[in-house]
Amino acid sequence: MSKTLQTIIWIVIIVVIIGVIWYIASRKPAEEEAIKIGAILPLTGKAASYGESAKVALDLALEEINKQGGINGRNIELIYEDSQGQPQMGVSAANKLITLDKINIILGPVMSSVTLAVAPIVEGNKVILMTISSAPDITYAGDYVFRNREKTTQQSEKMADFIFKILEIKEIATLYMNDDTGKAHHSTLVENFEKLGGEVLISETYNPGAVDFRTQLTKIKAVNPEVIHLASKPKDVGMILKQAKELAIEAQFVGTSGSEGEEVIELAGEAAEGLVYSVPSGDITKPGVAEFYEKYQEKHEKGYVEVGALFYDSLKIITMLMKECENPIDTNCLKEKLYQIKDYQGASGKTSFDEYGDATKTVILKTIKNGQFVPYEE
Amino acid sequence: MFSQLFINGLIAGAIYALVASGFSLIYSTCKFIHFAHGAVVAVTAYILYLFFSLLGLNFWLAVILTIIFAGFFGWLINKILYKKLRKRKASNVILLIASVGLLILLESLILLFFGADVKTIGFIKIAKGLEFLGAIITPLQIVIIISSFVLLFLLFFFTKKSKIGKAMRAVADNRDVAEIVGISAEKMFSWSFIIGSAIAGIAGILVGLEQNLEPTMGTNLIIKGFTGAIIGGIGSVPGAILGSFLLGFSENFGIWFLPSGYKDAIAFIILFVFLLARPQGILGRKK
Repeated sequence: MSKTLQTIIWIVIIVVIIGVIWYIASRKPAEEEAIKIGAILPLTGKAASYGESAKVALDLALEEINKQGGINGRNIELIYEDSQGQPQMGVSAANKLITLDKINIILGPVMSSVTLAVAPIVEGNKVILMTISSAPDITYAGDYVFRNREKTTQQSEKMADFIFKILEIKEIATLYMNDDTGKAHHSTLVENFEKLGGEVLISETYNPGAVDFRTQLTKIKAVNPEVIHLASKPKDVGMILKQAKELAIEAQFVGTSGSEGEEVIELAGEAAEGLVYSVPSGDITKPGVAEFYEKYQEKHEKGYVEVGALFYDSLKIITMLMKECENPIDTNCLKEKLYQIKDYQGASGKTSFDEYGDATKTVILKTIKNGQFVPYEE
Repeated sequence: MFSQLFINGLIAGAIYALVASGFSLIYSTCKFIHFAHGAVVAVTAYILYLFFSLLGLNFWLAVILTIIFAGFFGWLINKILYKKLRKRKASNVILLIASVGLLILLESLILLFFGADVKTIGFIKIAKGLEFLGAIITPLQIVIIISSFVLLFLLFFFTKKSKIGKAMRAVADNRDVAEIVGISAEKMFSWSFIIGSAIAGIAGILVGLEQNLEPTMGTNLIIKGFTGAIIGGIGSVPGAILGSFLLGFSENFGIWFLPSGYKDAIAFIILFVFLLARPQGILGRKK
């Protein structure tokens, strides 16, 4: 590179930096200070597609809330922090939000491991955390920790019933992801299925990030089960179904809510047809649900609309309660009111919170038909 | 089940070998660990996706363009990053750190341009594989295995017989002496990057078709490719390919007996065993 070219590039860079500073400095301050709410999401890294889906839904909810006048005239402002899906990044994000931005409410994180790492921090600072992670331990993570998501056991019970009573199959195989979520879904399913009198022939696992499931599937194929249960996430479900088809496995596949995502169809194509899975609500005949789905898909075609719906409801519930409290950021008042939420009808179906701060939701069965996720009909 | 596990191991090994061979070729000439090789594989897979799925070019034309691009990309990396560092007499550790930085940078750029969700190239329809001695294998997987064997032979003849190959070995053996007899070491470094990265391009295409595309795919690939290269003997290209197959087999046969969660553990236990007992690898020479 010649000297003059370098000088020109430096001048351009400096001009751009000055321009950006000028722009930030010249923006008008808000008329009345906005109420800040933090959101810790995996915006980059392996789980980034969940984070993106959550962000789209949160922005949607935020826009609506502020258009309707915010909280008694004060706007809501969301501050996003990236956890990269990693506990240590989540912890520093939570510390930053609490100490620097002085926020009182945090939405997220998505990953269970991050939620469990962040929980003690919010508990100590009396900050409300509204997560959507599914690990069972989160139930006891703290008084200020809420989970706007069905309990894992709700899904497992439904699925065990389905396999045993409706499909009338007594012997199954399982394949699950070796992380908090996968293990929780797997163990509760096995427990429920064995309680009904069924038998699990073989349980195989894989580590997060794996792309080659052939050996696990070969071992499963050797015991020849009629049903294979997957506790996994969309990307892996897609790859598993593809490789199972290539290996000529003809068993019925069933799964958890981690089976819903465009990636399943994109990766597995026709091999995804007929997969039956449990999912919290998503019943689009209910008010609010279809409306949200439409609005969401307008903004973000490929994301996880279920994840979006949970975050959308989380923000809506919190801001609804803020209006009821004398001081909208009084976390004691918000906490007490959250425990009393019963049958809130939102974008993710009906939501109630129990005494541990866990939500109870309606769980339904869905299947994949002609490349679409549709409610399962017997 | 044995024959299916054997095939599974062969497929995994072939994928590792595709990554390890280019990586090992660059290492043997330039004598530093080019971790960003994994990201080069990922970038080329996305380039194929861009040419074929987004721009709608003919598949075979897209493949050829992708391989050419990969070679050019490797040359560019060497020219604008490593060559500059070498000029400043940077040590191999600095080059290693730079390569890790480049790996992360390239993955972030992919994330920025293509997004986080998994992409499929969608050239091959998913179907039941072919029966072969009691095991099942898809045509693409056969191509992957054959490609890695063909590469093994081509690279072997290239380094032993061709003029550039011989010159590269001379530089690898003793840079100063090679320069005295009129071989430009820098030129050979460039060549090793062009050829090594073109192989990464082939790996990117085949892995992209088989495992689909994610921004972080490069890291996973280079970890396994690197392990295969160490096991086989890092300075030796045939060794790297041999080591990769050994790795693929031991992973897949290992979880026949052990719970499948131990797959990665098996790979790294083998790595440690080799580092402790035979650090020069299977085919490496003792210094």
